[in-house]
Amino acid sequence: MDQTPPRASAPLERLHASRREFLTRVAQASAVLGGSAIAGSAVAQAPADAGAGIPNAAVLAGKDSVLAIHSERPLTASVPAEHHNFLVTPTRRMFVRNNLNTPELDASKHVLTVRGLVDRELTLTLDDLRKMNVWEQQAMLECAGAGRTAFRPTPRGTPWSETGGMGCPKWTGVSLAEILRMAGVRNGAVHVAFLGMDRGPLPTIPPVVRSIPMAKAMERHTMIATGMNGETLTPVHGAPMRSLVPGWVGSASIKWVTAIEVLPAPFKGTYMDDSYRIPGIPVAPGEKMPADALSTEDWPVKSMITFPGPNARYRRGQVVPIEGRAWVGESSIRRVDLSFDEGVTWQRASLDRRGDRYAWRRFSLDYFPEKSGYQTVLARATDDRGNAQPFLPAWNPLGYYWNGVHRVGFTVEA
Amino acid sequence: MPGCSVRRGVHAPAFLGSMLTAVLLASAPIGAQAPATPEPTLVPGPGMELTMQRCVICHEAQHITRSRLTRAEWLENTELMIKRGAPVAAGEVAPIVEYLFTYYGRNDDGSPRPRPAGAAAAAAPVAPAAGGARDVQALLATYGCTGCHAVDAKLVGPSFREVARRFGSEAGGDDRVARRIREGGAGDWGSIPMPPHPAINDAELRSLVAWVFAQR
Repeated sequence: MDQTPPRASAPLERLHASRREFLTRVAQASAVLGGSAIAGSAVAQAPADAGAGIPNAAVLAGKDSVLAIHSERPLTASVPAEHHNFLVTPTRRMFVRNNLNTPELDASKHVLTVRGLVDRELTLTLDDLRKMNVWEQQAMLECAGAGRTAFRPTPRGTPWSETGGMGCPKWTGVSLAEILRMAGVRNGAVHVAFLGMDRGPLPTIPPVVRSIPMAKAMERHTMIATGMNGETLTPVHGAPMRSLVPGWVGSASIKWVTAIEVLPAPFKGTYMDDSYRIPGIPVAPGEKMPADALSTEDWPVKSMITFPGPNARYRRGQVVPIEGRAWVGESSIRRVDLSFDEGVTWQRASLDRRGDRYAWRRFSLDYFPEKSGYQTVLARATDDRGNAQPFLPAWNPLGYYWNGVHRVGFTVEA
Repeated sequence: MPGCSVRRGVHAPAFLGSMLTAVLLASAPIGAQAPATPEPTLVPGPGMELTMQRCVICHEAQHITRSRLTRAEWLENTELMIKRGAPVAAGEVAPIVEYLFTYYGRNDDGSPRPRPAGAAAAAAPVAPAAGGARDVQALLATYGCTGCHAVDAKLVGPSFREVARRFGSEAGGDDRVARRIREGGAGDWGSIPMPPHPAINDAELRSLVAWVFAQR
């Protein structure tokens, strides 16, 4: 383990300097710190043309053709519910939400710096992480704006479909708590910030930095992941290493992580202060963000019907095998109910309660239609705190936390 | 469900490593990041060229065309983009917001605002000077070229002189530069993409390219 002594170093806030300050600082940091500090690590690996990254064509070669591409610059893509009928989300169907370009990083040269309010600053390589307690968990990752297009009016931002922008693969990695204990967290630590290595096309573009509260950082499921579904992380999902903050909005998990900084307060920067916020007290649809806005954290209870897909056709007398997934950020799924009469009456689905702490749960019910024609099935999950999915979640200016009851139509032929 | 765009990406065969892909794409006539089909463009109108140049360096015009926002929301969004590195000068905020609200606006009740009549018509072309030649200075201003390029200094994009030296004597170099002006794209000079200029007509393109190639 390569441990370096503590030294005076620039906080992450300085990465949000103006363009000229940014370039000057990067050059100075590189010269002064020999390429091992936060900015220096960017310099150490980034070519002169740092923004280029891996072409989308190469990224998409590893993805299924059912992925809908919402944007190529930056790359955002996902599949809706009917393409999610797997117990574990395959890597080829895992959603992509880049903020900037997909960086091409050399895993053998990549370093993760741990700094800030710690007793010992650490510089960890991929090999260092592999010598620690590596373990695997299945866990949800879901963009804060997943389902955004179901809100009216539709807020700006990635137009995720009602069931887009999420997935539940298996992750391999090391608990962040183990890393932080090795560094020794000092008194006064409040938040832990992550810096990603992705860069945009202009040097004025600030890098992606977000922070999470200390309690979530020390929770054992929060990890630095190096693998996905039993294989090495693919570049677009954060290779060689990324943070994973399971159950929380996807933006809390930073891909291509190169620095962890323990802070005395939440990180101040555009990805904390301008995005991923919701009103503390709900506002009317169309209103602007109030001053009392809060940072988004854990996902509320949510479910989706993964089978049948939209507008399937059945013959009279045929069983309709309903199947779906239910999940919640910081609780567990107590029950899932289905309705075949638009919510007038509900039937309890069978629910697989076992599974990893932050993984979705499978539910199912064999439905024998009593009538012909077009009809619908609604799914509503309830968590162990007694919270159930609403029909229409609270509108908010940036379109986060859509968890409305999911509805799928099918036709029974006479 | 609105907003589910169709797939536009190109699929390289899975066996191609990214290195090989990069080599193959680098030799293609349009740069490595050019999409398979042209990116969507903005509705022509006052402020459209400026908006394209300032916004479409970093993201597709689609991020705008899929939105309908109030004036206050467009202003807030433009200010956010400046915080996130958009090269927008103070005096450019008002014309950009005016354009965005005029053509991609919604009312406070959520209903989309009707676009001005004739919005689909192309921007008025620069009138030909005597003898049919275009006033290149007027073209440079109309299409905002000098926001990113100078004659002999690299700004956001390469200098006109660099472009002239690299492509001025190459067979088909004029067509190549003309396509890049009209369709936009990246790859010849790095990763910063040139925004497309779909409103430019053939005669204007010829005049501009000839002038650029004369700067060597």
